[in-house]
Amino acid sequence: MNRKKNNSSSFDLDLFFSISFFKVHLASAGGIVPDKIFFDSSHHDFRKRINNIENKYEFEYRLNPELNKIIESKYTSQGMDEKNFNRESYLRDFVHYAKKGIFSFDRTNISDPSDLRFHLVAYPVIDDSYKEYFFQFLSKYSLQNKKNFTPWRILLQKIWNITDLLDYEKLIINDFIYFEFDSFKNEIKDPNNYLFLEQRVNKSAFFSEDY
Amino acid sequence: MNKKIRELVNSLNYYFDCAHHLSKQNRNVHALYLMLLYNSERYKVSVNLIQKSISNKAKIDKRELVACSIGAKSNKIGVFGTSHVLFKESDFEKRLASELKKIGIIGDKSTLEGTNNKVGKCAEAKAANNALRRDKKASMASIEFTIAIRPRTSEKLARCINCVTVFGYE
Repeated sequence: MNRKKNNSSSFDLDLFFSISFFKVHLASAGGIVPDKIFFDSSHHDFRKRINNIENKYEFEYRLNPELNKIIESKYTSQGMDEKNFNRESYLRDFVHYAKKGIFSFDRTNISDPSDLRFHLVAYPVIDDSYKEYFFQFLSKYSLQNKKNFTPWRILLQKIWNITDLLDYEKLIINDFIYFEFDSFKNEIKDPNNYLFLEQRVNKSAFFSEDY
Repeated sequence: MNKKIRELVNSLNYYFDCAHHLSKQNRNVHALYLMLLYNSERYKVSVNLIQKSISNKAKIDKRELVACSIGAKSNKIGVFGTSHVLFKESDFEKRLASELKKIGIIGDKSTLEGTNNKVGKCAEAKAANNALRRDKKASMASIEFTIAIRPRTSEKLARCINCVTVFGYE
């Protein structure tokens, strides 16, 4: 078997993306994912970081208020009834990521692998500890990995004409990111922030060429 | 490779085989379905264990959950199949391959409208192949399937158009 073959429709992948200071988890559920995302091992690295034993943060979580309607629509599209559906085992993975401060999405129409629309299942209630948590577990990854550093990188390259960004890590953490975080503070603490995320994810911005 | 990681990989392989490739005799379809649910829970636990410890160099099919798994029964033998490998034509039993070829080239998109699934990719095809390989006397029509499940959530998956054409309705 060719190792380089994109057989993403065989797997139920965990994919992670960022929208400003929010982290989003998408369960691919056999969806056809572009090569660029399928061969990117950073999703695995991020998951490993989140599930690390050292990560003892646990946020409160809430379920999508529309979830019951979505599940009912699944009953008809997948031919399920109450006997084949265990709500607890359905929610387990998504609740796990919500507790870790990540907005967790599932693919809606899992009968069609080319349909990349997602619905929110569980989301965290973000409190004051999120800032500390974000820089300890969620953002460190993006600083170490140059690939996922593009928005800040472009800005920084305009300010300083530098080649190796890693040398400037401390500078970035102290001045640049904290400054940015403050400007997003209200948005993060907004209890309706998940609605904004749902819109962004459903437009499938992650799977466009701009990603 | 680290010794602990090697042990974990071995345990994962063991559970994966238990869950998906082991054949059982004298089980009815419902018993196979319950076994499928139980083994997919165990499979999920061991995959989570691997995900926490293994590096990104490990093969993707060892560290990611499969999208779909199913059980099948032919005469006395019960077997399982998953969506996790794309078989070539030579990997299938001839009887099954000739049926699959009616809907398109194996490994490519099917000629049927309304589906993007590849021919021979589905868990049903792998399970039927397992059953036919172990029970040479079995006919295609005698194979009974359990409900297909998604191991992450244990929810039921609907049969795709390709499989409905080859194996009939659920």
